[in-house]
Amino acid sequence: MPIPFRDIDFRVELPDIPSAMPAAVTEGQCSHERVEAMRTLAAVLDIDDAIEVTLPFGHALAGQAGQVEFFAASGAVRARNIPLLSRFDDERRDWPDVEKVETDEGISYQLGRRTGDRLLGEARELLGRAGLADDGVADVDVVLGRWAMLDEKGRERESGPGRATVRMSYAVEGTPLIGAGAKTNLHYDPVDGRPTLARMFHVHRKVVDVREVRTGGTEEAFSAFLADPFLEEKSGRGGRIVVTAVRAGLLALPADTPQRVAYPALAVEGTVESLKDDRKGGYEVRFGRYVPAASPEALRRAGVAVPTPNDEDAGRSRSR
Amino acid sequence: MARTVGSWWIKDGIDGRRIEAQGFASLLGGLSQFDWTQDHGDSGVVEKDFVTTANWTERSDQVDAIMMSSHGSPNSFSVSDGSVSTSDAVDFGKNDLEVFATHACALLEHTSSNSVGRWIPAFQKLHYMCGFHNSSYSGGGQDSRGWWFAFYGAWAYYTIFGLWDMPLREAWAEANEVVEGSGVQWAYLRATSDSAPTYNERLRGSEPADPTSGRRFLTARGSC
Repeated sequence: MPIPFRDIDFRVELPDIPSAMPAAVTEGQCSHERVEAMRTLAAVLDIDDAIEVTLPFGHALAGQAGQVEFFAASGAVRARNIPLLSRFDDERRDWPDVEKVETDEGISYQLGRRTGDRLLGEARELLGRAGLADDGVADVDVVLGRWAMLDEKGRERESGPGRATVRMSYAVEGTPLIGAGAKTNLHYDPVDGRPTLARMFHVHRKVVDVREVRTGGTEEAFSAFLADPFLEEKSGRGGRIVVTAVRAGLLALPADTPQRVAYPALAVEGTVESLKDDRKGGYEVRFGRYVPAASPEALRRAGVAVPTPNDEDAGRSRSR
Repeated sequence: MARTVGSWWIKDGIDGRRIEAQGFASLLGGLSQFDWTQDHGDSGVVEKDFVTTANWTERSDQVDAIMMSSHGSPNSFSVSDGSVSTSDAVDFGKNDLEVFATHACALLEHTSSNSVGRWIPAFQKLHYMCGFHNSSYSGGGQDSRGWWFAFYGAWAYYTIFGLWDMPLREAWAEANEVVEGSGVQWAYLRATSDSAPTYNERLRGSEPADPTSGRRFLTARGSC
């Protein structure tokens, strides 16, 4: 029995979900479309002894200095600098230009504008040279990882910035692609004062057609969420479903998964509160869920019928 | 002697959660360096697998590495008969366990008001707890997470001429980069010492030295 919409405790402003959204018909890039990208990345990483290796999910150019991988299901490309991944003794990274930022979670770190812009420029130049500078970029930013050292009592003794990541996200006709399968990450470590590529990952399938799919608006778009078996079960046992974040977009599946249609979906985060443990009292669990924002019937009517995520989890055939 | 691995999973309506945990153990179990010796699902995932219980040897501590798929929060992760929390007597590694990896949301959240140090009492001889700083996702194709962790952690190294030689912390980051959106933050908490440094520890067939005295703890997180 689906949870009534009014029983959800929304502690976030709900997005205004239009009554119709696009659905993107997609195609992964073929191997030959990625040859130049793989060669370019292999050269950047100095993989001069590269051999071609068949992998369970595609193939790779591989050597002692690193690997460049191709994901056959989606056309994604991944590369890494193997020596750099073990070069440091711990998480510390000596960036020349770092600012401390006070956030709700405590102190965070970000690159100064000059270094951030430089990194962004290097990332764009590399993507352009590799033929991976795709259209449809929706957002670009540069973020720093964070590390902290704790004593035996758990007190934070020291903290600092980690690896820097240039992140790009994508959209189709202004609607964001959400999920794991539409992004570009370039991860850098500072070596002798210079940002050096440690890893990169690029997945962005070609959009070959766009259809319109009826969602029915905000409340109707939550139908699949309200019928989620885990949330139904917890709600039935007295759990309170609290939603803390909602994002609407087109779901791009992970790079290891063939995908014909990126359909309207919601990314919902929240907490189930007031759960009871017979011996210990109350506890809570958090959740993150992708759910379709359009019914199977609406997708069929738009000519883009796809399995539901749970069907896909149960029966999807992968490329590996 | 081969190292041992295990899978613990609670489906909660999504079979991908089983696939996620078993994918890790089954891929490694196919290598001569590892044996898959523990597999427990749904009602078979019980509190006493993780919490020290009289006259009982926790099954989680009969393996070297675990992949677990259940729900969580900063202070607890769920099991079929309730939850395992930071106030429980969790002693990972008192027998064998070195790596505890979990999908559980926000288990390793680290903020100024709630330090991830709350999990330090669970480190007996445990080396790594791998998880997330914020919420991880289900329902959008995340079921291969464990397979990727095993692939980058050990399988590719042993199968392809030793070329994929990466630390397990990098394998955890790369696995999650495949299956999560970039708003999700992978995280880990590790114990280390001068005599048993763990920063560049690999997931390999030989037992690494345990950090037991003069320990320090480090947590890190990054964008998926």
